[in-house]
Amino acid sequence: MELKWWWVVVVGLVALVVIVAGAFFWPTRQQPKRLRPLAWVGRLTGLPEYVRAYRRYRILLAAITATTVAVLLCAIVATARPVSSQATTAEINRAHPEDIMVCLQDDPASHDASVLLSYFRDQAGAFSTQRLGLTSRTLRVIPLTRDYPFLQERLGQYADLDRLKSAKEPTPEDVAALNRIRGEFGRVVAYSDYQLTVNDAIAMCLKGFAGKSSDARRSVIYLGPAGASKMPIYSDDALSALARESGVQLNVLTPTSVDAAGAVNRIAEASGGRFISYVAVSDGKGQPAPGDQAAKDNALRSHLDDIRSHPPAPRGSDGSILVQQIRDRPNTVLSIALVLVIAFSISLAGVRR
Amino acid sequence: MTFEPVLAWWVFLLLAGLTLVLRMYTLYRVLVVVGKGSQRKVVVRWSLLTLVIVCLFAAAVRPGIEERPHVVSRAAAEAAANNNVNVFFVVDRSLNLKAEDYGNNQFRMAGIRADMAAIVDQYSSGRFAITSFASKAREDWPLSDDIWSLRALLKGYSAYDADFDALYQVDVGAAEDQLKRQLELAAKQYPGSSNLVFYFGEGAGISKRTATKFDIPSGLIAGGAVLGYGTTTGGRVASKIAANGDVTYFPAPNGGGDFLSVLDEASLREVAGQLHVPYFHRSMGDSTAMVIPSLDTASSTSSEQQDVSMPGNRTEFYWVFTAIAMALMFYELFAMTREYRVSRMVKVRGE
Repeated sequence: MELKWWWVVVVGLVALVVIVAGAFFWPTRQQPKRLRPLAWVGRLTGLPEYVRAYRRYRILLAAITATTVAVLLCAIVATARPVSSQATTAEINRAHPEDIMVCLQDDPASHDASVLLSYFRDQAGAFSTQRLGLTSRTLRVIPLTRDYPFLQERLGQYADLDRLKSAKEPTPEDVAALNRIRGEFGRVVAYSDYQLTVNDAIAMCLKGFAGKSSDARRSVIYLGPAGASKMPIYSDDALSALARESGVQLNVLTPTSVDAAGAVNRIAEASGGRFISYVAVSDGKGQPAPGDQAAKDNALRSHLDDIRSHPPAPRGSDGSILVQQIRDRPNTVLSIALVLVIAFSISLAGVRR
Repeated sequence: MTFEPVLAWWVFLLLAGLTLVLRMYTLYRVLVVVGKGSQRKVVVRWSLLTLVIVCLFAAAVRPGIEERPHVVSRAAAEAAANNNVNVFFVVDRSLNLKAEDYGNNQFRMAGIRADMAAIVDQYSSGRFAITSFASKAREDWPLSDDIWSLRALLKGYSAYDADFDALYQVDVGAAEDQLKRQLELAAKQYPGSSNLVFYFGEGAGISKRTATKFDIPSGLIAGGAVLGYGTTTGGRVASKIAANGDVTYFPAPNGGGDFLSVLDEASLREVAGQLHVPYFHRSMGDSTAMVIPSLDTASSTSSEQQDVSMPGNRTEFYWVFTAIAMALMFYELFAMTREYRVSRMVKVRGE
């Protein structure tokens, strides 16, 4: 449980200490009572009635102190406004589920692709309302779906391609599996008058969200080169319009530097997404040091974490951005306070206050 | 102004009543004990403590103002309810589907493709899933509303390439596990939706395997159909299609001409019985209207949509009351400590 105004607790506790200490040490005008010495005090205080009365007095004193402090603490905590961002997130996820299209322009058997695929295989295990899809450069490999067991199984298979490819002595089954699964990602067709471009690959991903808009929070996570496109079907403006119309946040993870990137950088940022240039693991040109590779993989994963922790803002049906207000959750502390109030009232009746 | 009491109303009233009785009893005791002179002082103290209690109760009903609660528009919700359909295609992709006895000597698969496309058109905003099978089942397309991509997939949907021996291993019920899992998941993830199952096949009469039985819990399938393709006289099964369009056929295993794959309607009717859906034989040009089950749209009104409302921006006031209670309790604590101290400040005369 988090607190919206945590400073109230600090101020409250400090005030508590100061008030108690002040009440104790502030000089009083009242003179100490002067009691007459009495004979046989020991015999009087030894009487069972006296002992009983004194015990009752002490219990009452302890009870009134404990309940007063407890009620006060409840009041302090409740005034600090307990909130639960976790519960709020769950509520938002239910009303505005996330639609995530993973977009892979590289060879699915490349190392970076396997990092990406295994990252989402693990994520799919924790999904509750999210939908996930996978698009290769020419095909919808997995449409947006909530079938999480399916997602985990397939993404796991695809993430394994890197291992199959780099196996020193691949078995015939491995080779067959590699070819079969590569086939699922579509064949590269050479056209005489067209070459696949980055713009069109991204447009293909953007087309994976059914309907123009919905309550869902849509995002595309694209992994691949981001250079300028030559003669694309979707021009930069058309792509930008497509992203805007379908309300998709475009995130780009690319080995291409920002300077070398085409309009994709601008489009990603305009859509509220991120454009991240990362250092790719060199594929093929000699084996990179294992430690180096692990560090780069972790960097890629942390980029993905970064993207995933900034999902699109939920929008109302009129397109306005809804404020992600954190809802107060004071019910527990207020219920405890009510129960304590009963105990408090009983002890107050005892001390006549 | 709305209220969201932290406890059920009756618990709340019970506690309030109990506290009221206790406070009144305390007031009575206070007044009985204290003499006329200092009555005002103790009554003020009693009132402040009662105010603390009243404030805590006021906070516990959580008064607040609900600003523009965001609810999915009614029209959209109704449209969504009517389209809340999950369509599951179970498709036989064994070699039998390359038999040329559908329509004008076309592959049986051509008929399946046409019918699948027609059903997709029928539920153009539903969700679709495809599970294919021959000897084993495979989920080709998970449940998704991405119809745009599904249409592209269906254009090139064809039978598996396999050896002739694979025909003996075809299991008409191979998709049992996958189908059951998907139906259960869909019922859980899309409450209020209807599951339709369409089974496309030819019965695998030549198979030597005992077929797995579909054992789907009742209530998971709202409708659908088993659709059979081919003829009882059989059709030649293509083994290879050359680049120039020449087709070669599988020879019969016991010699003597080409092998003929025969439609096995009995086994398809059995599947239909297991799934509790009707069986239809399909030939070229048949309208799909008859195989589309009529759905009771009223029953599929979605409870899901009612749940879907954004946590509205609620302005809470409970903390104002707890803040007042907190301030008063600080005073009470101060007074209490002070009293305790004064009562302890004793000095025995003469010491």
